[in-house]
Amino acid sequence: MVSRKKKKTIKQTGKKKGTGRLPFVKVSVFLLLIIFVAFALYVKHLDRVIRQKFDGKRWSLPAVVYARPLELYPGLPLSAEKLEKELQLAGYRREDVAADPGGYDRHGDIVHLVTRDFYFADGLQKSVKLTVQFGGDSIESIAGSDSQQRLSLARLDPARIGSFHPRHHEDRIVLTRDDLPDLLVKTLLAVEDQDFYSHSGLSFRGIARALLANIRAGETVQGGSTLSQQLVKNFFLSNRRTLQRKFNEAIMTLLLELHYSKDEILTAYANEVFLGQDGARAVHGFGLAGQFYFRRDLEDLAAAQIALLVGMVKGPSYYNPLKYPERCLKRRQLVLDMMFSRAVIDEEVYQQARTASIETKGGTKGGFNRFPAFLDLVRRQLRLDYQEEDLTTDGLKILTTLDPQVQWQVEKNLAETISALEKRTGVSGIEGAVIVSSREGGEILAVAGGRKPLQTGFNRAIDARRSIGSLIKPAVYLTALVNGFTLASPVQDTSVNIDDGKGGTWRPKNFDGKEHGRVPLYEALAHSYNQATVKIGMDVGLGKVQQTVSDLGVDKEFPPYPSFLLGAAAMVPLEVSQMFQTLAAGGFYVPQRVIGSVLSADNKVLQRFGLSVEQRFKPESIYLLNTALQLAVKEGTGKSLSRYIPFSHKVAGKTGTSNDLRDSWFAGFSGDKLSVVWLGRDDNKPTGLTGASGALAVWGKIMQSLHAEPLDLLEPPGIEWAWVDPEILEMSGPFHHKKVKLPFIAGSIPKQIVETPLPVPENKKTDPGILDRIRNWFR
Amino acid sequence: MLIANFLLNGCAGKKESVPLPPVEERIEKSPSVSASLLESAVQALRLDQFNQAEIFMERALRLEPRNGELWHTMGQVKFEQNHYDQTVQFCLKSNSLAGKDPLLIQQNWILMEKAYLQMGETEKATLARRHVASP
Repeated sequence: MVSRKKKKTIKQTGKKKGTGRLPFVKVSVFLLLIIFVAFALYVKHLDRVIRQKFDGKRWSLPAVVYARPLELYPGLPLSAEKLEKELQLAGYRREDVAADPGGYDRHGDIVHLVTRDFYFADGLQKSVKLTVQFGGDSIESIAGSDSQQRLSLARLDPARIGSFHPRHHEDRIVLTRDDLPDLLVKTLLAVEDQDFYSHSGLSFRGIARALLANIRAGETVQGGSTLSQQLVKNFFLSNRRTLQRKFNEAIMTLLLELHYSKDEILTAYANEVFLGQDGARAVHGFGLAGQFYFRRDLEDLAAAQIALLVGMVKGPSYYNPLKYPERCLKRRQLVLDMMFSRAVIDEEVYQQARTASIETKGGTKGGFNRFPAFLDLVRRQLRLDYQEEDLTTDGLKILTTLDPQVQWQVEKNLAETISALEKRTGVSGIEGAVIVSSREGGEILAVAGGRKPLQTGFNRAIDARRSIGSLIKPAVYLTALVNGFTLASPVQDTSVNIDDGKGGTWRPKNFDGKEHGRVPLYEALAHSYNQATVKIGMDVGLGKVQQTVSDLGVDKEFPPYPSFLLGAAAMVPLEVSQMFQTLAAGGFYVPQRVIGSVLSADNKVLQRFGLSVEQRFKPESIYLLNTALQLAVKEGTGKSLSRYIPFSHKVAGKTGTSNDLRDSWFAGFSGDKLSVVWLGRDDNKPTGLTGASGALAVWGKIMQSLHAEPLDLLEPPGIEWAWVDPEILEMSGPFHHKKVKLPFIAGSIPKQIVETPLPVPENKKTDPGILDRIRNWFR
Repeated sequence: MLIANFLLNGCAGKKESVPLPPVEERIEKSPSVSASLLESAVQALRLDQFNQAEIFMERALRLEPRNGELWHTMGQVKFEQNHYDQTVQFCLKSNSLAGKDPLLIQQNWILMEKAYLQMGETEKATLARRHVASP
């Protein structure tokens, strides 16, 4: 063992002696070689980083969501004020005389506007000048401002209502080199990098010049980094001031210059540069900044505005014109001085620009998600077809069905009415949800997910799964009408005991605790009698009623309990809306839609969500049911709607109230719109509101504010009418004292009432007293 | 209604012939706000641009959703797109809004018969033909 160790020691000693003999130069060369190889590998790595980013997708472009385009035509019920509000939303700017795209002026009842180019699913719609003449609360005429030719229809470019950002919330409008105005380029170079086109990425002259300028000014007025360096820093590196970062910046800048042309670098810079913050959204690039601060395309910016934007490069937050106008003005004047001294602008333009005030337009909120509940619905629909990454990186254009005019009214009336109801009932914490759609097309025009429209999070329109109460009844009665019942069929509204399907007995009661005896079917629906409804439902069969609900568009399984007949089933407002959509559309299932089409960043149509229909019920049955729903509003539980909408409008609707007044619903439709309203508390405690005293009021105010059109049900062939006396359930003459004229499917008018009228129950008054009437209002 | 006739007779040469006035004349007479869109849809159909025609008709229906004639024209567009099931559905919708317009109802049944034949549903086509005879 010992001898072995000795040998080893001798061997090692021998090695050391050998190393010591190597010449110093060789070691140095070897080390240098290692350093060089390491450096080369590092540069290669940086090179790969640069090329990957530059050759690939340079920016994650959020999907941009647009409202429906406003179609103007003579006779459209739209006031000048409302048009102006929508133009503001769409980022139009008010001017003395509208001349450029995105501008408008208003003088009394006349609005001049210049639309902007926009790609719809049917192609590019070029900018046009329009003169819109209003007559009161509607459009009187439209003319092309240039030709004075009368137009029958004009479509405006839609408002941008939101965007789906990746995590870092960057937003930008990507421009090409040709899109960059000369004035912007010259100004940018004059202020940030005078030798841009001659240096190779780094400019020692530039550093020296900046140093001198800063010493002269006594403050930092000019940076020493070239545009290429700034781009590298913004694009690839952090803001940390470390030696390593500076080293990387220098190497990467040289590599960038090696691989890409000056124009490519300049364009990338113009698109990348950070120029402010719009809430959670970061405003990048001059294109978006022009829109954000001035509501103008870059090419339409004046010298003073360009000076302001370029001046902001130095410190977008510090020189924010919206927050610090004086500071920003000072910076802008300095930039204008530089522009003049470096011959970018002549004296006339310089003098004019110096006197211009900072006329920002308050920052457009176009990119801000102004209608989060609606956007939530859009996003959920898109997720069925697109990956999350597609939505946040590919710059998709999502053209939706949102009608801002409807949405504003929904938000206003929901918030105001809930506040008033809370005061009246003393119950706080009431929340709400509203969905409004077009009656025939199923396009969702507005969504409220809560009383606070800007609040994100729990979207009650889509996620609040609540008992729908009597809103289920139209499905029960439709099933009855399809299965041989008529509106005059006598039904018994008396006590009923039913196996509840869970081993017990279910004894449903009426809201007023009374039994109403034998009543015609339409009256049982109009007054929302529970016991009669349960009897009808059990008579036709629970399974058939559930099938009807499915046919109406709610494609889900419900437990087969009899309580389903009184709305124990839980649904979200969106499902209720789809169910009533089929009724409103005359028995045709029309899938409700929030998206019209999806376009790619280069304006190719990727997907269309077109109109489709499917007849699921015979028009005659639907006609009878909708007539009964009109009667529910005229003389039933929806009677108090007359406070908001005249009886002559004949709207159809139904109230819904769940046990212990936990949920208040109203669903109904006018000639042009369907709306569903839900009110309740998130903790599911009682609200003290019935469908009539809560949701109906919201519904009425919304539809009143939207000037809902009268509902004129078109009578299908094969309908006959007869006078019915609801008290004795016999056909009667038109002069009978208490009569109602009802429609029947041809051949179904009973020749005579077979049953002998039953005695009227004790608690049923032939003529309801004042207390009953008041109770009816609130049912 | 007459637009429907035009389409039935003017498109792709596969419709039965029924004499019709020129499109422009009919559109001039129509006070409808959607007239220009209907005209554009007709032009698009003439050029076999069926998707364009569909978009024009959707716009028209957004403006006048209770116009049975527009729903019929949409049915015609669907027919040209070979969406025969939807052709039938749009015609049924058109019928539900046709009121007392026997000509429109008849044209709907004619189109439905053709759609059913395309789908190979001869019994339904025969039924549709009976409706054509007595709408």
